[in-house]
Amino acid sequence: MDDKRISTSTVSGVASEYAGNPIDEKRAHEICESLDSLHCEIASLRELDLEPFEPGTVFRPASGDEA
Amino acid sequence: MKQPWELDLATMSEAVASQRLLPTEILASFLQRIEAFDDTLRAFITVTKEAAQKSAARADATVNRSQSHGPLFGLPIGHKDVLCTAGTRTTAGSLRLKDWIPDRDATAVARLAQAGMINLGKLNTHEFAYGATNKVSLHGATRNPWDTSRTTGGSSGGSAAAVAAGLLPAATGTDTGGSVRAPSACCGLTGLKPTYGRISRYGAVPLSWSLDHVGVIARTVLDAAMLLEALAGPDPLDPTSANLPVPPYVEKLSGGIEGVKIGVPRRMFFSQAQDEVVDTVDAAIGTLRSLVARTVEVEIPDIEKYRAASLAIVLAEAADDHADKLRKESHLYSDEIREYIELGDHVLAKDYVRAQRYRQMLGESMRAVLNDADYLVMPTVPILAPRLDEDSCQIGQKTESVDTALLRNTEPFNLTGLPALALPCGFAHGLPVSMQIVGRPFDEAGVLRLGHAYQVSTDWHAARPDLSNLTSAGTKPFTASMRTPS
Repeated sequence: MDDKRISTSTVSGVASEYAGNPIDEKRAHEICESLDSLHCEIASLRELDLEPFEPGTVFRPASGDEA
Repeated sequence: MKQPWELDLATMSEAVASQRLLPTEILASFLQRIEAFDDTLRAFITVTKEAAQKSAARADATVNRSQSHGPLFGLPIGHKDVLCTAGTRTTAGSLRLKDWIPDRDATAVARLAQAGMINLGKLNTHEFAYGATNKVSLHGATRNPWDTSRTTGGSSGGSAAAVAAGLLPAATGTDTGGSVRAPSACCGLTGLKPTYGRISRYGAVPLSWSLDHVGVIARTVLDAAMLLEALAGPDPLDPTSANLPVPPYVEKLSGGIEGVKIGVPRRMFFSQAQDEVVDTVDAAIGTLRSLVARTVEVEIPDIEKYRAASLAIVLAEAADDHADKLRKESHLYSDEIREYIELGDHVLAKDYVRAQRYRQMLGESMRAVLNDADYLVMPTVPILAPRLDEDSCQIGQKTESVDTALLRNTEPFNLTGLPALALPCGFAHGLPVSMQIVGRPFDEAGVLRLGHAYQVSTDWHAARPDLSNLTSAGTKPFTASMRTPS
């Protein structure tokens, strides 16, 4: 992820239409600037072969007293 | 003769047990220090002076009647202001919770109260514990008692400043990426983040539920062990608390450490640290080597990816907790914290799950390393406490953000949940340097034993900052990007 990949309109759309947290254009631009480097860093996890590992937090069925 | 504020908890406890000191005398000594220095240090958000004085007077009566009591009885404690206190405001350093008064105590607060400790107040924190410097707080930045132009580290910076300056003998903190250990390191104190699940998180304002831990900041390992003994144990109110028995941590400090094998992970933990820090921690490892059988260099594969995983998890989990509140009351958040929460809206679900898979992988890598070595030792923080006006720092030829550097050596152990202890091991340029001891899951007893053995052989933990030139009028409050109410 070397190039800038996230557009201001994407950020704005996700925030308002998807996350329910609308932001103005100036804010969307600021978020976009910060997101570029963060996304690159987070996406670097995709380079690892993580499939053999269960996620660190796993579902546990709720158990009652009768169990 | 020492003043009460100069004593550690254990010594204070003996003095109360033998009726040489009364709880009211101890409390008065700390209140005097708070009055003299806290305007400058900004360690406290709320001082519960009157309630503490009443509690201390009641405790005096118990002591005077020679009634039996536990080792922490009548001793002062302060709580990070993200831990709920019934009837006392809990702000999390934020404008949003500026006037919030919870109706119940966090489990950690309740357990120390049950042990007879006297709550002397609530301590400053980076807003919502979402930062490593304590620069962004409704109550202003906390200043480091060793050099008031520098950060305490955060987010339990108020806890560390108070203990380092002798405004409290010990304090609670929370640690999501290093927020107990980094301030302990910057302020020359002993800080313990136990295993995830060892201390209940109930009643702690959440930042990132799967990484949040409650811990303690104290002057010595012995004091930390005393506190852990009171705090640890299962709690039905916290589904992540571990249903395991609590060992007698204080008693176990005296066990031998001969034959212990220490692993030294040079990669990242030392290779990306300032030279003065590496030299000081290496000297401390030399001392440990003289106390134990041997040290061995170890390698943790893909350790550098810890930050990617931490980012994905913290951004997503914090956004989950704050999203609704941000939508309704965005003007009550600082610019910095608002941006972090908004960024969390853009973490992909698949990246969050990958981060959780990485976390499991890292845990297994560390288990393998800790099969070979009994403990890991490294610098707690790879840099000396930065100046409050610095956002970046220099490590060798590389310039990087202060926040990233402050948490680099601590955050991997929030991901893995392993117990980790920060303890002072020297000074560079007049600032404290700290080493971190990491152990196997739920082996707090072993981690504390090794740390105690080091402190018995050294006196770095006994050093105190000189506050003689510190006056309330001498330093202007430092405020970063905290917004004022609109």
